[in-house]
Amino acid sequence: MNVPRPRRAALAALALGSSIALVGCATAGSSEAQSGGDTSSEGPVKIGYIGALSGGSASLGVPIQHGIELAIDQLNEAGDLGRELELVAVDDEADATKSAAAAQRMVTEDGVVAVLGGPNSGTVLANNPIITGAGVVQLITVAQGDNLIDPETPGADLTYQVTENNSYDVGAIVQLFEDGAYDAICAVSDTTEYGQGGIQTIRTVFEERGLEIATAVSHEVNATDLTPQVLSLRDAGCDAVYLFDYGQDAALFMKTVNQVDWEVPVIGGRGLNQAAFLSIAGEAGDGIIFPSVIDPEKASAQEFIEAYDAKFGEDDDPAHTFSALGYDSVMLLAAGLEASGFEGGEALASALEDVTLEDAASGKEGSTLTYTYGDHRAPSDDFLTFWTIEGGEYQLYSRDVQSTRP
Amino acid sequence: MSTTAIRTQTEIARPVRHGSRRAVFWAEVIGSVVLLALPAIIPSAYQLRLLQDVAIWSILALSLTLIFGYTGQISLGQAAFYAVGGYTSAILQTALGVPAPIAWVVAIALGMGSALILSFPLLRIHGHFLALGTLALGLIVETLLVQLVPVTGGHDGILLPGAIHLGPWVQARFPYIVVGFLVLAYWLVRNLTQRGMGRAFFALRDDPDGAAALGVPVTRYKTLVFMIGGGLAAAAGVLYAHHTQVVTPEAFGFGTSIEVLLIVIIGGMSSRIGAVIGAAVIVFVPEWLQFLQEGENLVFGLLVLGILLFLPGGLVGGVRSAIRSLRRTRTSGEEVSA
Amino acid sequence: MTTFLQLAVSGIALGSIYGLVALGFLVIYHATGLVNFAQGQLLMAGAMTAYVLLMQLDLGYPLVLLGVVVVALLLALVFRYGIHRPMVRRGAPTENMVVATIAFGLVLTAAAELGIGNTRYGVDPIFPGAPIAIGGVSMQTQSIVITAVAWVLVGLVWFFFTKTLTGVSLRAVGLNRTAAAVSGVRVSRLITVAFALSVIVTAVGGALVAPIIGAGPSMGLAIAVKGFAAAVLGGMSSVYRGMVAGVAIGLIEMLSSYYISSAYAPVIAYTILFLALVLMPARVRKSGATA
Repeated sequence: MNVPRPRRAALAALALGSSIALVGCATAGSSEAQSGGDTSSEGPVKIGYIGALSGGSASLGVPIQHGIELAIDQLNEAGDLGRELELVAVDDEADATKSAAAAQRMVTEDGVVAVLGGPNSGTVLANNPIITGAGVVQLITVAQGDNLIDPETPGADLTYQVTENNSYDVGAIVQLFEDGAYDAICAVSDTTEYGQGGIQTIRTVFEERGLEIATAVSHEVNATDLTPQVLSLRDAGCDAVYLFDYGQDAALFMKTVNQVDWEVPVIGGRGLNQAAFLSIAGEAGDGIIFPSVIDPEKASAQEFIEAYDAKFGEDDDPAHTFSALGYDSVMLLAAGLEASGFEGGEALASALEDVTLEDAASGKEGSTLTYTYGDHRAPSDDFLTFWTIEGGEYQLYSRDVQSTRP
Repeated sequence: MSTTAIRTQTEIARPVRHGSRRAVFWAEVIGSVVLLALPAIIPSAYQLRLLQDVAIWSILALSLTLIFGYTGQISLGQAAFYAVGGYTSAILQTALGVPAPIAWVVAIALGMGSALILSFPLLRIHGHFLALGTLALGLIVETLLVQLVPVTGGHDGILLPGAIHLGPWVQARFPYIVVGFLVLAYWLVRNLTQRGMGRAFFALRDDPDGAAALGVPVTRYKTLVFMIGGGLAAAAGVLYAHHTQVVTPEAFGFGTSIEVLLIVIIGGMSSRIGAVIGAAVIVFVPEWLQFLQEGENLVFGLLVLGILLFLPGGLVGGVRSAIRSLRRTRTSGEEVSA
Repeated sequence: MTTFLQLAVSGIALGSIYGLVALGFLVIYHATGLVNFAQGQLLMAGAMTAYVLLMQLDLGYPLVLLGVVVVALLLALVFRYGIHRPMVRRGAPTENMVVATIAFGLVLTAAAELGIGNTRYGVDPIFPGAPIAIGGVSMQTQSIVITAVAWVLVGLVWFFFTKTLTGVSLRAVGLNRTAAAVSGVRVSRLITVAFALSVIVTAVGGALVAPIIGAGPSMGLAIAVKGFAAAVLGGMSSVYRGMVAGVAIGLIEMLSSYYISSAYAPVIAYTILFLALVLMPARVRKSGATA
């Protein structure tokens, strides 16, 4: 048996390997990130979309993609831009690692000019440094985390949020609680980043307004039974509930509230716009109030809804909130691209800072989506409407909503 | 001598013949060197990123190969130790300002320490019970990551910008550190599973009572392996945190534990190179399948099923038996001609 | 007191579903020693089938349940003849088969996403109407149906295993395959019977739970983990013990969530499971592990 002693062998290998590595470091160690994305003037301009297209978050990610596709189709058909847009969509399954890899592929292999981010704040946190690190612009479509645009991070200049953040939503909803003059407002949320981020914002905003959350309960996402949560709130004497959940859990909560015959006003977060809520809750959801970005009296919203339902069917996204935001992301980006002459990177970023969209699909009549220098959150004041459920159908509750940018 | 008799029970675990052992050794050396040089050769930042994904999954898979493949203790909660590594390192660096190298050492030590402590209850149970116990452990850790918001940042996780915590120079060369760790992990597992100790491992996998009767310190070896496995998983977590520059609970959940198991089985259980090959499959194949759009997951699942159906020893087992049959035909051919 | 009773009633209904999943686990496990990790996805398949037949094709519930059983039977046959038997024939190690069940689950989820859609869909209950309330404790009609059906199924399976020749032979196969074959039991066919039984029970469970939590491709995991836990807590031995353990887990989940902390309820449930495992008498552990 003439086998070298493993220890010696390992040392030999390591010495060899590390010397090679050092040589490597010296010669080609730093692969410089190319910047700016695609600037060639031929062929279609590629736009990336990273979102959850399978798994639990797909019910958010897919309507966004449909909205994006509709916008691109319309722009290409009209031909006003002068160049065609082409969508490169990748499914990250709401997984941070996959999202980061997808971002890297888009910016270095596909040469996208900008990336539209998906529904989950966690994945945006993971893919944003890569996208902006390569000098590519990112527009966050639906994720609402308050921490997504942080001026401290190096990529802040290139990052834009299309939708209002949690503080904006909660700030608008607070008025409903104030109007009700409740004694004990309680909150329920899931333990995902959506629910926990929401609760954090609710606490902050409530404190600013001199309100307080009497009791807060949470549960795992995709819960199978919410009886303890409902009973906890009922027995704590809550007289109003803030329901910050995804659609399916919110539906289960409402069904349980109905089952134990508890009469309590419930005001929800934006997750109630998910098709799953209406589909599962049915009439148990009646009377619940929640914020939306759809104004049925706005012409551009009506056009969007008509075109969307014609293309994807009425049941695809009955509340139209998430698809409208996907649609508007493309419209904002297209306006920016037109101004920058289809140049990406810094040029696109600074062009976006002059973009205003007055006839967006999302937003109340009279509101705009506007970016300005140093302000990368699009929705203007008075952007939201309140909706409710009646007889198992989405109904407008009120257009008279005052919302101010935080 | 007598331990060899026990080992032969499992065909896949059969070590290569003595004559080709040397060849394998040199292949391993050359492979390691090539791996260390890869970051310098790969021009695309995207490919480089995938290389690091593969390397990190490989280290995590090696930890499971060691525990599961070599000593037969199934773990469905390997992501728990992965989390200990990733979060400890990230918390030390961000909240306490500990320099990266020290944070890494502490994180890996904590991974080993927690594995050591948990080995006392866990190694009392076997088979499906151990699977479930480790599964429960993984789920407990996952829930704690979400709930202990002041420590873990909850679902927002902890941001770990490389340029700040590693410095731009190290950040640009981070791929070398990742593949370096993989090479280290590989040789660690290799040396642990060769010679006397390795044989003892197989023995206590295939027949723990027999091994004990023959004087193998069963409990001590199992604990040792579990502890080193925990340390390797923690090291993978440390690298992951810098690689993605953010740690969130989803990355350390049940899905991750299952994915590691998938890697180990696809590559070939109780094969250290199998862990690396399995990791490469799980990273690259979905990338290649991306053109299928919505059909990607379905085709990937069917592919995995196909490997399991037609290659019982995983990819490495498949290659081994192919080589064996090739050799057999060649030698029989020589006999005929002679 | 009403609160406690309300929680207990909900816990029993929830636990019955866990018990049903445990039942599915145990039937295959007893016949073949295989731990089937696709259990959650098979539950999902039942729920999605119910959704398609009931909500999209507007069939009545009798036909829907028949359809669920037929689909379950087909899946069981694919599982048995497409995956399990070929692997056994090739002498694949147990671990590979366990992972194959995981891969089978991935395929089922992907197929459901591709074929039906990837959100949660509402499914109408068997008996529509207001919840039933007795003395301040209320229950949805569907929860009553679930509990009743689950216990009836457990009773039937228990009867099958202890009182019918096929069932007794099946247990013999699980205990000692060779001896069973020698005594003239047709092993392969019996294993197929076990697969069919297991998948049907699980899929029916899915169809029953869909009217409460909806049907969607990723609905199965949480229930399956707890069903698996119930099977183990029941000692992996008899089907009714798995059912009782399932109810126990359901109760613990509900009560700890209300009385201790809703945020940490899962931790408490998993910790109890963990402790139960490591503190379980060695005798039970040994016999279970080698059964």
